[in-house]
Amino acid sequence: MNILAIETSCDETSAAVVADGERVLGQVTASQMEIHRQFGGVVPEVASRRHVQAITRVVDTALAQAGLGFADLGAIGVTMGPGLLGALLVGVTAAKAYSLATGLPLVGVHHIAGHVAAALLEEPDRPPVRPPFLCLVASGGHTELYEVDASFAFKRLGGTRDDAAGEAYDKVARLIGLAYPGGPEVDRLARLGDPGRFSFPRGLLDDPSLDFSFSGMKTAVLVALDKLKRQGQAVPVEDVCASFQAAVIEVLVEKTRRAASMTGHRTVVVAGGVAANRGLRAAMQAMAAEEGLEVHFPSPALCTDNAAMIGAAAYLRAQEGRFDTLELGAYADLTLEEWQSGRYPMD
Amino acid sequence: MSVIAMDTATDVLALAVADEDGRLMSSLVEFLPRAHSRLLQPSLGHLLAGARMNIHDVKLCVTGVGPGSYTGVRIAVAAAKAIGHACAIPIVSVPTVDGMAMALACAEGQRFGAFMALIDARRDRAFGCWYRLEDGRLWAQCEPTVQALSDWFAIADRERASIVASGRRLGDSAEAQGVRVRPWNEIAPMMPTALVRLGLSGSYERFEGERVHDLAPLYVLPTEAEAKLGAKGEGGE
Ligand SMILES: [Zn+2]
Repeated sequence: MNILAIETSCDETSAAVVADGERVLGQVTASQMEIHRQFGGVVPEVASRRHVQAITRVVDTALAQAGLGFADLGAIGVTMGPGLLGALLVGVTAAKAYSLATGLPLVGVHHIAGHVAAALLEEPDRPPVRPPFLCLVASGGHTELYEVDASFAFKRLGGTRDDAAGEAYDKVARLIGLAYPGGPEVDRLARLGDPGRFSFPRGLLDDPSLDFSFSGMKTAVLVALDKLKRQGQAVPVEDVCASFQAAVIEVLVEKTRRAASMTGHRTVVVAGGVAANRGLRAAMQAMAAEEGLEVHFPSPALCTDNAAMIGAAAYLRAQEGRFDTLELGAYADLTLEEWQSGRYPMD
Repeated sequence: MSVIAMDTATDVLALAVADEDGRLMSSLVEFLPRAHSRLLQPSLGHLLAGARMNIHDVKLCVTGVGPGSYTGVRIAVAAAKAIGHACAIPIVSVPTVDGMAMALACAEGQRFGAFMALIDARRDRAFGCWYRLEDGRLWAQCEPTVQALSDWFAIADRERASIVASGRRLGDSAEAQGVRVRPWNEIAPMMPTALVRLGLSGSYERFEGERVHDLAPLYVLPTEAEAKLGAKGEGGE
């Protein structure tokens, strides 16, 4: 079954055509990164305006790449939440209108389920992963550990109590004056610095739960920078990045190790924008080798927001015969539990 | 063969299915704020079914493009673009204020006169435009724009224009200033007719083929973030 998928939850307008939930036949993402860089972050109204401008063109180009027309499709998948409400609405509205115009059934997809489903996509250097598995989702909006069962149902094991990992990266990047989005730049600079130069706290590392906390790390970086400034010293940017990254990665890796031993899962998927972080990839691989686990990362291009991952998740939902009506809404705060149960919150 | 028309830029959702001569076959006007995104597609489906039409019988899509609520206007525009794209039909873009003014003329049974349509834009401002109606044809006397309510009212007074106004605050301000306005939710039942009539008038831009992708809302105002950035660029703050 070929699925046309649409993703507009934040600042990327993306459309893809995915065959059988695993082969990407076409994908186009109109990135707004350059626009939002001027503002130092995503401005919701600007993002929504760009989405409505680009929405049908990305769909048209994705279909052209796939060499398919609307008649060759079996369903339309769309991100229904969580995310920026105005941005989500553009994608949901277009998807519902495509559904009305073509008679194709509609599948609303949870954005995080999409990030995880990115691991189910076939890639040149890696076979697709099949559930069950343990999953760490780390992005600008989320840091969560889930058990994913054979039917792709999610059970939350723990998650951040304050900032998401990606959010901490962006905040620290701003503190040291790096351009938005700062995460990838921190990752790059970290490889040039000394991770032992500063000792930043490992939030909740000693806590028995599988929860995370990153706000303390950000504060510790701020304190360290202030101290350097008071002493009239230049900021060793590379060392700050390396030390900060070491702290974040240690907690992410250790909690994942614990979750694997607690649940007995041998397969681990790391998804979300932060999964593109090279430092995290290396540390997870090393931990997996020690523990005899198999760890999978979607390719960096499929870790950031994209429609192909939404198509993969929509396929599984469609296989279960779970479709949505033309009344489908968009939800800024949709939880995975709500999406799984199909009982969406009332407006 | 039929024409569909829609507008979601105000608190009112207006939808129409008409024949090629502009005769309404089914229509719907809902005064249900913040429900447009829920209702647009299912309602359009019901209207087509009620008119015994299939979406593939639709040969033209007329859409209101604002100004008005930013989130609201994107709903009709995104839907129109997707329908225009999937059904390979042209889209005609009609400013929402033109539709409102035409609806007011229809409601008052006028073929001549001056009309003004206003939509609350907060801070005592309104999106709006004013028109002369000559033998049933609407002639805009300015570009749709945003300005202080008092400026709009001064024009209306000078031109003896009838006013239709969307937004409760706007209605209250008008009353406080002794200006007579017709509330939009009372006039809105004529919006489906007005949209179809204007859409078929040949006076509005048509987006066809590749150009369907170029259709964009008429926001009138830049976003606040862009306005600030622009001010910085010009050396102001
Ligand atoms: Zn994401």
